[in-house]
Amino acid sequence: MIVLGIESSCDETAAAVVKDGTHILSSVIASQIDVHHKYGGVVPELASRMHLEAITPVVDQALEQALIKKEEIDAVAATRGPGLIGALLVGFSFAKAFSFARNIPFTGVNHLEAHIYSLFLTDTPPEFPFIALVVSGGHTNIYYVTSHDHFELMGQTRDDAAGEAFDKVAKMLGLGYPGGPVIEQMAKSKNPDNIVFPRTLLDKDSFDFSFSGIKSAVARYIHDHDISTLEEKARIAASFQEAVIDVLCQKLIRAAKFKNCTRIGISGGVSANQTFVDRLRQTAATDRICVFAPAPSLCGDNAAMIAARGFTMIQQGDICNFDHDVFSRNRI
Amino acid sequence: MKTITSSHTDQTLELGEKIGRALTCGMRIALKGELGAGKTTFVQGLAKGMGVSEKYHITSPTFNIINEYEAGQFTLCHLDLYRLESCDDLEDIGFDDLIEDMNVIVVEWPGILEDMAFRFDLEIHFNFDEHYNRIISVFASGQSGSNLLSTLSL
Repeated sequence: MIVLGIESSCDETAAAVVKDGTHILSSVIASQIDVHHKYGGVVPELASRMHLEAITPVVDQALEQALIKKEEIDAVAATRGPGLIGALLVGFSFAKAFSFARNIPFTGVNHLEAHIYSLFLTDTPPEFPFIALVVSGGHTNIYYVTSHDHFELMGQTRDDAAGEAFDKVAKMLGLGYPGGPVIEQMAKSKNPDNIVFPRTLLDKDSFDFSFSGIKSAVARYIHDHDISTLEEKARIAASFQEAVIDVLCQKLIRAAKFKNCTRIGISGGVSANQTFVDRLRQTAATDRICVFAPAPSLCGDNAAMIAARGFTMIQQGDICNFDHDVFSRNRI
Repeated sequence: MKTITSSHTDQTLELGEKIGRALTCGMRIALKGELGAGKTTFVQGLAKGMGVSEKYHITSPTFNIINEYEAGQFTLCHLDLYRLESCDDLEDIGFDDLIEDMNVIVVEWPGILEDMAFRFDLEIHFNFDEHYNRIISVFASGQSGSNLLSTLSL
């Protein structure tokens, strides 16, 4: 089955063609990263107007790159939520129209579930059950995934998302946007144990996260110290990253042990942080836990993961009709 | 204007809770201060005071731009305009639809709204003193804002 996937929940307009939920024929993202950098701030493509301008060319390019004609698409999947309503409506309405015109099924996909499906776009996906972390600029959620239709939310952030903390610390250090890659890059040159930032673990039994304390501690450190040298910035970047990675690894491994589960799959923008992936693999190996991570190109928002999730839903008969609408808040 | 010195997040939460209990129809609040100054913490207290169910975590709206929470008869609309560029973007995120009596609107990084002379009932400033305590100042404008401020005991 060939599925056209469409993503427009927030900052990216994306389209992809995926065969049988695992094989990517094309994946196109109208990324605005260069625009962000030019303005030195966060100027995302969140305006629905910009999604509207991008959607048709992005879909055309996805079909062209996949060497697939519109007539060969068997089904359409688009992000239904959570996200910005105006942005979501562009992709979801496009999918409805495409499905109507071609008389093929379409389905609306939960963006967070879809991130987990970026782990299935490979020849070696995790087997069920596994612990899944979706960690990005907007979310930090831990799930226990036992099948294609059962995702138990074990924990989530109570304040800032982990990726948001990276972005904000990068901003405080004057390192531009997005924050993740530049912090990881700077951190490589430094020993992270120089400054000890707090690891907020909350209650002993909780799988929830809190990253606002680490952010505030960095803000305070910057307030109290001279951070004009690159070396000092690198020290802060490394120590901050270490604190976040520590918390993520500890919670994930505890979640795996709690569920007696030997697999952890991470996804979302922060899972592109190789220092995090390596540390998690290392730590997990001592408990004989396997770690799965998507290819770097599939960590951020993309449409291939939407198509992959849509494929499993359509196979199960979980399809949408034209009365279905988008939603802004998560219902997973 | 009224001011408190907050040396712990509990004090910021408490201020939020007091103001949350005193809010009236359609109030609009602007929050100003640097990253890590306690704006989202304040809103967590405010939500508690307004009666938002504790099963909701009041998370940072930076990524989502708008987070909405049911709060008894009101809806708490928590916005962060940090990522927006201009008032055109406001239209795109559906800001106009939020302006109604039953919505309490709380805005972090309200710059673009101020540029278009949007009227806030309360403006709350978060600053630091030399010991890194938060100095939180509450300013009122208009009748309902001034009424609220005059009844607020800090």
